[in-house]
Amino acid sequence: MKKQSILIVDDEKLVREMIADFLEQEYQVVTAENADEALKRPDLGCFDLVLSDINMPGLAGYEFLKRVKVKFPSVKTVLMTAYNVDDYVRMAKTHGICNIISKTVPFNFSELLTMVRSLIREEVFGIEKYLQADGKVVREYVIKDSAEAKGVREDILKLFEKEVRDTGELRLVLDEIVTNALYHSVKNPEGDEKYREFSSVQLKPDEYIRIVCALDSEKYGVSIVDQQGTLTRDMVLYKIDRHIRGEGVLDDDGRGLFMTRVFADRLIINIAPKKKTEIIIFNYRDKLYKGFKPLYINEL
Amino acid sequence: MAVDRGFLFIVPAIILLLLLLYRMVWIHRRLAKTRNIAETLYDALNTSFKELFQDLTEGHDLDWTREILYESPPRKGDLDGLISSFKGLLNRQVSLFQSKNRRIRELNERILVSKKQLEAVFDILNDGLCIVDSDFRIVRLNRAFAEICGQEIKNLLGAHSHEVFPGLPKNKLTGPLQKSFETMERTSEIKFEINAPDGKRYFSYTTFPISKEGRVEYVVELFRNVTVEKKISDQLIRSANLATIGTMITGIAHEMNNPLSGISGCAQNMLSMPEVFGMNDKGMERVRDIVECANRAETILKDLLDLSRKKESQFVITNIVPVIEKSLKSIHLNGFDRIRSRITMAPEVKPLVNCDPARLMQVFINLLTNASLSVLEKEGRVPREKDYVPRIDVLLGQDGSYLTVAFTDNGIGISSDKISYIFDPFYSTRPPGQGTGLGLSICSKIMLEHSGRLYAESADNKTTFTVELPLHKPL
Repeated sequence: MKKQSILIVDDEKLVREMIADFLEQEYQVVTAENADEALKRPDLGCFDLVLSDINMPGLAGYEFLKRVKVKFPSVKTVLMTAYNVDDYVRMAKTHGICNIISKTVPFNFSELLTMVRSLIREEVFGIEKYLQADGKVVREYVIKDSAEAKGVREDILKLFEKEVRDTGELRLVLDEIVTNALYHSVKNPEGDEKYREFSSVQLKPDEYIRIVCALDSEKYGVSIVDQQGTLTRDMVLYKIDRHIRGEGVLDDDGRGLFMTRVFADRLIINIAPKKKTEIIIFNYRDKLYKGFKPLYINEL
Repeated sequence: MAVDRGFLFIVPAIILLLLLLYRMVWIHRRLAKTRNIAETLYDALNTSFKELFQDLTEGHDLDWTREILYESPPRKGDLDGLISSFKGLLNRQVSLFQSKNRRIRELNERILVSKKQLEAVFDILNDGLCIVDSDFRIVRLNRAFAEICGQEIKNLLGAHSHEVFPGLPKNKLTGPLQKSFETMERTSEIKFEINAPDGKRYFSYTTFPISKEGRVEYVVELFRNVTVEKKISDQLIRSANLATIGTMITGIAHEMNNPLSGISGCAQNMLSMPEVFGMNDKGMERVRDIVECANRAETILKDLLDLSRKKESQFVITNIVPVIEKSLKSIHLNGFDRIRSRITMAPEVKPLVNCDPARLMQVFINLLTNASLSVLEKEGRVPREKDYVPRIDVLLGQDGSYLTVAFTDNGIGISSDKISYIFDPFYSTRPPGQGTGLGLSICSKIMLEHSGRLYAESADNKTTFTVELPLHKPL
């Protein structure tokens, strides 16, 4: 079988070769120094994925990827940067880009590979895809009513007792995400929320929430899946962005997602519109990777 | 004999006339004499009044007296008139004296009040004030000066002002004081520091000469306690430094991040795929060092970015005690379990502050880690039999509208020549690779975000870092 191909665009020779060296183990890799060079390639549309740095002389990474997307909608695109990803969230929203890999020290190769793989295969759902080879799912829950949510939360905290840096933060993150899934994601045909926050709720059989806990040698994580898929990529970006800019200080809208992004090392949001939404959080042991937090939102 | 008879009449008549004439001359002379006396008396009185007035009024009211004298001049030759004229004059002078006297009494009272007011001002001053004579002996002092000396006012009178001032280095200020006596000029703002039991105190010294007839008789010495000012100004300098560094490093740190991730990533590849890169064992060892160094550099960058971060803190009204407790639990140092730590709170303190708990925890963890390392190092230095117990005390108190959290340890302490540098970015006493030297800079920055302060004192084997935060005022 022919190897899938990836184009890497970065003005920093060392970085682009480093990424190429690594990905060549599994893919056919071509590199370019800047957007101009990449755009001139006649085979641009044949790549399965284009990975581009943001800050380059000439065309910026997001402009470049936007052009690629317009010309070749089937090509998957990912940005990467060594800069603060928070500063690019608004840009990501306006350019329709939702995956920004962060260049960390040490470089997070396993994350890079996971992202590239899941994007090319279009298989983004499922926490186990984001685990290393030694990773495993340790527990699964299904929540059918609000009364169960609290018990599950305490159970997860106990499960990760040894791993968790700050149980307060994890508790908060779990509360926010489960609350969102329980009350806000469930909507009636008119698009209004069916359940009032913190009220006692009995979900319908098709509204259940699935929670999966997993860990590997580097990290531990939780995946929360609702069966609604009402969240959209633009909504997520909008909510995160306004909180980054301090515009959401006075209200709660989007606070959960923002806080989750602040307190968890990784936040991955997978959306299958009108089918399901998966929110995955990961925390690395010993703050393994230093650098900024990436942005991963996959909308099928 | 008619002639004879006529002659007989004429002779006595002539005699009588002569007698009369003589009497008239006599009377005239007596009158002239009396007039002379009166005029002499007038002159004498006039002169004596003038002199009296000159004495009493130092010449100021002389013109006025003359005016009165010319207004109603005594009728010459008329003694009664003369006397009544002088009597009138005398009465007016008496009333003048009385009014003058009243005024003097009034002025005297006002001077007394002023004196009392001045004394009150003298005593209310928080700065030590004393007046010394040319032998530098105290002739007057205020309460603050006595308090600095830790003695009663009466015990200090007559003492040498520089000898009774505690901790003042000998002859430090005698030169300027002597100069003030000699040149009549004030010396301004000589700064000096003393070691008090509760830490260093800073003073500013000024003299004000009081001179009389071209000679300095006394000198006022002012000892202003500028400890708080000094701490605030130190903090301001620190924040100004931080602001400049902040803008600079954000750019640098971002730019460094990119090549650093490349260096690290390449080295990681070489380690994970040695055969691809033709690596031998020696090469692998070096590459491992590269990964390690890149890691260290990134830690510094991360701290630098933390220092310069502009992001808004998330403020909530928080009870600070659980935040401290949580910070204590978050410290995972080898030997931390041997340290006796304790949180105590002064009575009636409500430890509620409007803060970003996560950021404050960063400060507390930093201070507690520093304290722990200090006590553990001390523990390693003293022989076991000496019964050294490593201790960290956290004391919560209130200072005006501020909550104070003092972290005191009995560790190795910070020497006075080093304590002024500890807040400088990159200042570190630890070996390379252990700490970036940015911890306290970041703490300072976080305290600034909270409109609070952070300062350090170290003396007598005790080191205290105090965090001051504005107390939450309930509506």
